[in-house]
Amino acid sequence: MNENSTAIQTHTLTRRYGDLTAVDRLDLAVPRGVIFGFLGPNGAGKSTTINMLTSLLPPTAGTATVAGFDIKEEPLEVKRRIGTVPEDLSLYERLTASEHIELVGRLHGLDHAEVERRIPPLLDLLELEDSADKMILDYSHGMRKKTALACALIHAPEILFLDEPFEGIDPISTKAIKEVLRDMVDQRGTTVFFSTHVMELAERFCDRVGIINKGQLAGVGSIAELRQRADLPDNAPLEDVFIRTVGAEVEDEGLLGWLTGNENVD
Amino acid sequence: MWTELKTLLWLQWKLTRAMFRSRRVSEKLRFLGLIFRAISLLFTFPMFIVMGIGVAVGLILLSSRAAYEAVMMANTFLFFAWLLMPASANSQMVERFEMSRLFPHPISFRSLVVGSTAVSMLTMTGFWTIPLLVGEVIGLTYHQPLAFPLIALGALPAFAVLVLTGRIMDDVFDLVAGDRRLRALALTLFTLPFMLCWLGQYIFQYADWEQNPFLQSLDTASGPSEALEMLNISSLLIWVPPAWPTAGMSLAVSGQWGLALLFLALSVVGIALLLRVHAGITRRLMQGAALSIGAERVRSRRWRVRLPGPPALWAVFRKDWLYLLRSPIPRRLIFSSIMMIAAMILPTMRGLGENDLPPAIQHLIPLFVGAFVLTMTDMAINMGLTANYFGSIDREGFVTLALSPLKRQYVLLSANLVALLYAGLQSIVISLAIAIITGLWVMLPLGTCLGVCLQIGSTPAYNLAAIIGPYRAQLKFSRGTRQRGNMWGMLAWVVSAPPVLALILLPYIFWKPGLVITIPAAIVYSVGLYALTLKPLSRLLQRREHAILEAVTAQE
Repeated sequence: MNENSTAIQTHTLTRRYGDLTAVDRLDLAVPRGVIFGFLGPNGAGKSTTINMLTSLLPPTAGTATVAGFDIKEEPLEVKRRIGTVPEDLSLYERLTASEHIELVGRLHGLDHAEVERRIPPLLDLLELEDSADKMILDYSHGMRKKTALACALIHAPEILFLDEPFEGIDPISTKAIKEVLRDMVDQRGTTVFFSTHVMELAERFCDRVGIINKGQLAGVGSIAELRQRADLPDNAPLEDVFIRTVGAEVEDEGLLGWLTGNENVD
Repeated sequence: MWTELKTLLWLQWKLTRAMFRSRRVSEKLRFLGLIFRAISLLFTFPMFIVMGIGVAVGLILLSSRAAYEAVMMANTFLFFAWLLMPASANSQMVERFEMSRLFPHPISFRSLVVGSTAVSMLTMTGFWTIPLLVGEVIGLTYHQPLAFPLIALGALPAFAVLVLTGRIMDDVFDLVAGDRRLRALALTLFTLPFMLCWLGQYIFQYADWEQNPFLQSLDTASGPSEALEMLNISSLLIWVPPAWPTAGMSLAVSGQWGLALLFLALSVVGIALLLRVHAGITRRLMQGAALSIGAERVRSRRWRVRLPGPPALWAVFRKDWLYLLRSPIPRRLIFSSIMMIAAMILPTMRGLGENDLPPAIQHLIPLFVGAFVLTMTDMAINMGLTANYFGSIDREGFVTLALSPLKRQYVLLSANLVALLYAGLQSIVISLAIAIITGLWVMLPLGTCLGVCLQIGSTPAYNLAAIIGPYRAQLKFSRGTRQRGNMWGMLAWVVSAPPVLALILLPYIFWKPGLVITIPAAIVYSVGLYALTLKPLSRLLQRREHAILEAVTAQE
């Protein structure tokens, strides 16, 4: 195993779809043992970046290493060391949650006894035990997300890539999952790379944050560092830091005056 | 690699076993469903074996040359069946082994290529191909026992070619799976060869056997063996992929050992090529190369004309109209209607004038055919559009309607108006087609009138079906409510449609001047029935709104 202290390293990572550049020369370094929040507006390139880092999508240009392995040259080594909750959950709907988790465990080389040992506590953590024998077809979106999360955790990966992991999950489960993830980071040195739109979550949960806008990295660092760079006070919420960093402040509310009540009547 | 392969086969086993799982909540129904599936499987597998025995016996009864021709035809049929792999009943009963779902996990490229091919063998198509091939081996061996090793050896590449064909079709389907329109197009293209074969039979039906020397000679064949030999279809089928291994296993029977070996060698090359194609697509899929025709660009124009009546109704109507133009469902309906019309009209029209029926009855045949076609196409439109409104036309969007203060009768009225426009146009086209074919021009006004009245008069029945059995259109399984809705719809249709048919057909047969009274009466009946049922149905829709919402927005 590569003992490098950087979990994820990208160098001018680029992905183009025809004329559209979804990710543009991304240079990013995520140290091991941190929770890294990857923030950005819709269509900013978050999911494309995650897909490239998890070897699901080849970059058009540039390089990246995950857990010390090149995503293009050694995709299998990368996949062995990561757990992923992709944007598109991609679950076999006619399997039960237990069966699906078992499938992923087996694909990661866990033996039957070990998979059997690991599944119940995971189901318990994610409050899926009552539905464990139902087909995923009958699950709500939140339950599907929890199943995907359980699949990502079953092999205790070195690095977790989570695309909007808490979207649709109830607050009780969210809290329990966050605690487990924090323990994984603090005690096992796991790295969690996750994308989210929820600023409060990123603010409370992340050690470091990266902000991507229109495919380009607009800022990276701890939240305090980003505040400083955005020239905002120490108590400024992350939402303000985000808006300032991506330069998306609403300049003219006048056009919505009919709605907000601030209409100028001459 | 072996561990990964084992896991993939384990996955396929789990997916196949999941076919026996039922979503029904009631234990009793679940148990009954399980028993039903177990019984159907008990019949299915012996049936495969009986099919294999049938093939063997059939080949034994033929001459050796005819057996070769028959095996060529049988394997071409199998090839078409494997082409349909992604659209086959197997794919709907058993969840698809979608390779892309495995890409996030550490599974090697080689395991994926080999594993997915192995998995294709363990499908229902694979299960019934094996007994047929075994039957072919037995049947061919009977003609030349010495050739058994070559025949048996040839069956393996034949099976491999079929499996790889199915696998590649699945790969292609995976490539387009992310794009709704490409997926629909691919399914249409996959089924096209069958459609063409089906329509092709009419060429034989219409061909003038007495004028064509080839067909005439076929007519004089003393038995199936001679007919197959004269047909010599292998000269055409040799270009179809499974033909090389088939020739490899069959030519030895007629003593052409060298040629048989040559074809077997060619088969190995063919398999390598197919495997390469499968590996190539897999690699492209792994690199995220899913095909897409991109976002569909549509023109959105405001309607400048202010239509009379409530603006809310026209707002919903515009939505329904745009949906009809942009949804693939009407296109599929048009396609299936045309096929249905062709299937019904062509054989019937051929029989006209060639029977001993009195002229008065012969004269009525186009009318009966027209009425039948119009009734069936009306059913096809309504089963797809009206009875399926909640779910296939208005799916998640129904939330918007449910949240709005819109009068519920406008929801029905708008959906029904759209279907009426579509049905009216189709009635004109069908009536015109029948009038041109038969020269009975009265079919044009009469057929159009019948089509429109049938549509209006039967609409309440389909509205009832839509409200009682909301259904989310999908390629998977139907819900219990769907059957209930269909049943109520059929019952209501049986009550509502016959008066329209009687009011238009009977006077035409017995006393034509009566049509002056009965046609307006049919219109009054249809419109009256619709108007009388609209309000009660709207109230029912209001009452069942939550149930409909639950049914059409639930996760599948």
